[in-house]
Amino acid sequence: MYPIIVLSVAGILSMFIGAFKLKKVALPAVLLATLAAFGSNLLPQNFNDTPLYSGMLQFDWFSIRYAAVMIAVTLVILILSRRYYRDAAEHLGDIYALFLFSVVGGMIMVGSMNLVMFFVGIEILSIPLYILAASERNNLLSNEAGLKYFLLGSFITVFMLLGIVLVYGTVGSFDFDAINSFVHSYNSSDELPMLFKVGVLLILVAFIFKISAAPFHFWSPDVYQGSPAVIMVFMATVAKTAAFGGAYRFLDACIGPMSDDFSVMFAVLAALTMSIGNLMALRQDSLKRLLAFSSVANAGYLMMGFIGLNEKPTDTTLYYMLVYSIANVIAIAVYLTVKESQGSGSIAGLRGLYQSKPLLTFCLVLAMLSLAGIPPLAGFVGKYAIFVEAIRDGYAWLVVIAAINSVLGIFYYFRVMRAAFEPAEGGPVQVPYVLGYSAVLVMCTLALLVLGIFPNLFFGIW
Amino acid sequence: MLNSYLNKNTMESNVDYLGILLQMAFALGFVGLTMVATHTLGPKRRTAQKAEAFECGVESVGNARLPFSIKYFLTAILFVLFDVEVIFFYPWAVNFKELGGIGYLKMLFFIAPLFLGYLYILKKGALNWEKM
Repeated sequence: MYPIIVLSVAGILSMFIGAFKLKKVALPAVLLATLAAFGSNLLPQNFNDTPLYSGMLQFDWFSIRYAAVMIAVTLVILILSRRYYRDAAEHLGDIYALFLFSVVGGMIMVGSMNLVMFFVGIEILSIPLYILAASERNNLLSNEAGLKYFLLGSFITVFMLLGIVLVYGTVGSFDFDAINSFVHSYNSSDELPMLFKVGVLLILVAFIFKISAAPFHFWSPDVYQGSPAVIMVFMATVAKTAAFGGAYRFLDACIGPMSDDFSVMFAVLAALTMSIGNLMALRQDSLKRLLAFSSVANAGYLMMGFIGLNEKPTDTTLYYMLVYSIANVIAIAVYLTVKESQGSGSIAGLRGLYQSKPLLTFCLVLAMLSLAGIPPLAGFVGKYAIFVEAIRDGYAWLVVIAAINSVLGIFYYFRVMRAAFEPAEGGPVQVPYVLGYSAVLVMCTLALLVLGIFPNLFFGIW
Repeated sequence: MLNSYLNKNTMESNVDYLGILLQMAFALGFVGLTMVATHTLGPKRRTAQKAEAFECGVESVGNARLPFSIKYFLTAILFVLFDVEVIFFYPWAVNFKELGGIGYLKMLFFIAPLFLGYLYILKKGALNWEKM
């Protein structure tokens, strides 16, 4: 509750900072507010095991952990956005405000205990993203990305609303607890009313869209490529964490025992998603588009966590999401520096990076290794944990497909690494210095290493 | 509740509706057939001028998909926003005496964010028609 209040107020203040043209204050103020939100999220007063506000929101360990990851990743992205928004952007205050509002939406979504709140959360998360995707106003690709995301996103919202209406029609309540006891009142889910099942399925369709899993992944490469890099990494990390957290919340707290019925569907979709993502990523030249398809593939791995939901902890998915987010942030940060000096966003543009920036190359290499899932980096532990749980649930075939996909992934992640070590034609790349940029990158890379070698640091503290 | 209602309906025999269904099919079929028949059989003179979009006598030139200034929308949407907020003043004005000082303070509290919003759009230059 506290981080939601802090970030909402900070967002409004940031808009005023932008309106009164206090450009210098904008980023420090926003960073301070994000830090405050992170701290207030971990306050013991913030923790509450019972739903608040007439059963609308519940800040239990689950939502607090998700909120902590979302705010932390946002903080890093905001720090790294300095390079991107250094001299441009007349609407800087508004852009930062939209970032913060989007995080607020994610936290509401993950903490919701009511379908109405849930819907409000998903909209607060998405609407700023529509605007942010189109925030580079003079770039046609960015405009296209914003429009595409908006049209498809609002279209899928209709599905979700219809699903909510059908669930409400059969249960007579929006409350998660009421819906859960409604499902419990039937002996097996076969006896559940047809309309209820259709409603749940429609809501799940909206999720599958939001996490950009097949067969609703078509928007993500175009939107990710077109939107500004900072926004793209925000969508691929924070928004996706929120979508996964929301899906978990819905499956676990709302439809509870029924969620096991969807295991086979999730397994098939996960296999499909990771195969499509990895196969498409093989042939990409643009680094952003490659990362977009890699994000589709990772959604596939993460969906394996939805299988047999009732017997397992939700830690593994969150760990995977955190690790994936960090690696993605590093990759985009390196991309930004290269793009600035080369003006090209292609993988070939990375050439000569090692000659001029060995430290950045080191970070990029470790991030790619983590994405590919090579031990001892954190990406390996995340994949390992998810695969082990899938085998335990009896989905060995899915793990075989996932393992094959990991090998495919190594191919294109290593292609990016190789490009960084190749000599450039025009001599080494010159990159202007930005305060604190490398330090944050190195810290992120160290986090990847430490989380990979001591995963219990993450799994133990909760 | 809805569910039991639906079940009750589906339990009744479906044959009752067959007549209505037939009539609907017949009506739709008749309309469709007549339209197709008149369009294909009727005499027609097709000229380039007739195919043009009629624009009140004005010659239609160019593509209709022109980019045009956002400021019309912006002004309109801002007007709608503040107009809607003004509606809340009417019930307050009617009950002004009964609500008393507390009601006045509450209304001030309601207007304050609105005023901040107004400051924001003013500072952003959203109302500056020339510069926008």
